[in-house]
Amino acid sequence: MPPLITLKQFMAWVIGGAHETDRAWHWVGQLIKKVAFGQSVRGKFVAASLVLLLIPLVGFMFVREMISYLRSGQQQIAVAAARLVAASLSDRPEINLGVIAVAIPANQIDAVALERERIVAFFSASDPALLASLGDIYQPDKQVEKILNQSGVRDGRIWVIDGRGLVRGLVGSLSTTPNKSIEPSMAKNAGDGMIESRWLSAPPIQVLLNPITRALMPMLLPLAKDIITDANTRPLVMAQAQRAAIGASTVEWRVLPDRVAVLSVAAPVWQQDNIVAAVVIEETDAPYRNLAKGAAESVVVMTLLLFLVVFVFLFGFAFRLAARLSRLQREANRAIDTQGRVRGEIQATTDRDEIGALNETLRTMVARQAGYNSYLEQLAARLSHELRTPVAVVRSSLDNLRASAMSPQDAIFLARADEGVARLATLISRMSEATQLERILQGASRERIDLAALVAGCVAGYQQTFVTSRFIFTSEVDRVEVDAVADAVAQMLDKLVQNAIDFANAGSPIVVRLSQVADIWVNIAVENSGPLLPDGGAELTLLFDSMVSKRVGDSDQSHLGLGLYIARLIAEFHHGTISAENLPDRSGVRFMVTLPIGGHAPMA
Amino acid sequence: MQKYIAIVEDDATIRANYSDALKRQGYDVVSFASRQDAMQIFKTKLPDLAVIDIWLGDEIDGGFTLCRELRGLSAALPIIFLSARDSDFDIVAGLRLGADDYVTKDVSMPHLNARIAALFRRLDAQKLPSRAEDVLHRADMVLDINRLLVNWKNRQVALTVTEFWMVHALVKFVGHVKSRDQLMREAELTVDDNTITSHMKRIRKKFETVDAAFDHIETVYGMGYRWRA
Repeated sequence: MPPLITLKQFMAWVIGGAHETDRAWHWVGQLIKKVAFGQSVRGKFVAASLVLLLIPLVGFMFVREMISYLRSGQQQIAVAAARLVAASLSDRPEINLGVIAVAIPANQIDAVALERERIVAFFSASDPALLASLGDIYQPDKQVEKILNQSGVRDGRIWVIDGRGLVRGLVGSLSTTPNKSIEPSMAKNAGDGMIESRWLSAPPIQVLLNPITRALMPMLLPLAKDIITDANTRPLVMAQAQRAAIGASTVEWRVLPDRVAVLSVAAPVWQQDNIVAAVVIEETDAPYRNLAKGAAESVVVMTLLLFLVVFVFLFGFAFRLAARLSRLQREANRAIDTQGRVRGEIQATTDRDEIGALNETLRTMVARQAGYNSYLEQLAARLSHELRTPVAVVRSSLDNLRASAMSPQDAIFLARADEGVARLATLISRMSEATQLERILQGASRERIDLAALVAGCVAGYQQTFVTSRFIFTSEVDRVEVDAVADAVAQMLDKLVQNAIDFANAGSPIVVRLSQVADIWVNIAVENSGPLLPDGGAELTLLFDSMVSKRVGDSDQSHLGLGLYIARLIAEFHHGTISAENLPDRSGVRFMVTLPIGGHAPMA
Repeated sequence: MQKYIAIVEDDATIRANYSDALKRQGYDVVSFASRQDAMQIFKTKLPDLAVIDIWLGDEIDGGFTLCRELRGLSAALPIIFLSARDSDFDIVAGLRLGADDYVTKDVSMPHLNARIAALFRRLDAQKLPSRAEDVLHRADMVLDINRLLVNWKNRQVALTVTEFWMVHALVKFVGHVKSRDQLMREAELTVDDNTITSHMKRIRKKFETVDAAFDHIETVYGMGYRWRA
């Protein structure tokens, strides 16, 4: 097993330099944190899908395992082949290896015949370069080479080396297979018997795959030994042969410069009880390399496809999940506004999973809230209706009492009772005003009105009606047209001004300002000096709810806090907003209504 | 001759109080607690005027039904709705069924008396010739104060007593702005501003059914209403 590089080391290798690596590592950590633990469900799913990267890892481990099995198989086959060849050479009287060499001196050997044999062998040899390098030690024996040729060993080289170190037979070659088989064009025939997809060998795919497989190959085919050159092969073979000459069968792995591994197996050849020669079989692992390459390609492609499919599936799933959740969130947000009022409803869903259940829960929740809110808003109307009958009883009783004879003392009490009933009646009327208003607004038709003229007219009217107060009207614009129900806008202004009068310090003016924001909004502000509003947003928005009164004024008017509620209803009916704030110099308060000039809420 | 008034009201206290008060005014008063009781008597003897509550016991709209039945018996019989319901919808529905007026239950007895008296006066006056000094002429309008009748361009505008008094208040001084409070006093009403607004709206509509181009009642925002010559 080669040392598995850690991600950190890999980064260091890619970027170079420890400092940069640390920074990059930190950045990667941040990224992972952001994606995996961040805000988006989608990001989390994408992060989770990275687990799929384990698939190629497992695939490669599998291929490696397979290759190592194949190699050990190759080794066994090679050992068996070497023994077989050795056996076929052993105890053959017609083949005179060591014996002849001993019996007949070298000079008695038919030099001419030998030379002829060498020349013939040289030209028939598949590896002339090697033969050339051997020189005089290549002393081929016809019989030996015949047997070697018949042995059927093709994917490699077979040497027969006699006791004197002479090469008596040499068949086959290593060079044909290794270099070329790595080439893409050769990949096809090399991967015989494997899952061979034709399209995998298509040039564009190969262009993409080659760098990947090339990078992966060293990992798939681990090579332990030092690299040797082809020229260095001979001494190693000789050494193996010498070891075989003393009876030791050896197995060796060597590596050629092009990283092709060579398996070298030596077996002794026996003549009676003597070892007369050694058979050395050399084989490259080229077929296995191609097998590995093919497998690696398949793994890469399959993994990518699988990754893609699962990723797309997960992403789609995450997208749908996120879309459903954010739709629910949007609807929930829209359903209840910042002031806790129900503005819409959550759509029912047919989904029966947890999100569907959540949807259903939220829907019921909003519906209940809406029911409660409408109960609260109806409360005033119902109360006013229910109270009216007892008030009628009291009033008619008082009227009857007045008609009968009574003392001056009685008359005083009667007058007081009348006053109380009158106040009660006013309160009841005000309470129903809000409900009535909603009905009126629903039936009212909007028209194009000049808000500046309307507000100016109203303020002039207030000056006549409320003689004890002083009004100041300032307008930035001479004319501003809005689509509105004039009566309702006037009523809204009535409420704001009434509110201002109720809380204004005695003698201080009530300021009504009209201003325009671009061509989109128009602001109507009513300011009065007097007690401040409580600080804090949540409480301020409550001001405009039914039956809420936040300030303690010394007004003798009865307060139900309905005026501002009515103003809010009218502002909202016109798609406007209403707000309250303390004046910057904290001398008083300002209520401001913002209405859209277009008549409907602009997309702002 | 003593006028005979029928009160149909399910609340016993109010029923007793109203009948006492009206008896003191010299009317002959009969009161009923339910629509069925009332109808049984009405079939044999019609009252001169009926004051009807809308919500009668279990019947939410019992008063409306009674009004319809009563109108079937007599087209001229003055009917006043007296109800705790003050929504525009109820008022419009009641008046559309042929009631002559609609008052909410917080009306004071003098106010109710004034309405009943006015309705009787109108009933009586219709039999008499109009007296010149009781008639106001304003451009296309003829306003007979005694008979509580309004003619616009020689066509009668079907106003209730309350509405008539409001129009009268407006046209008495042409061009003068009448505030809501003033209109309320003139019409013998104790209602909120909104009710005045919807009354004015109804008055405009009634004039518009006679003359589509009618635009003599002008809203002066923040102040009130004005009759434009």
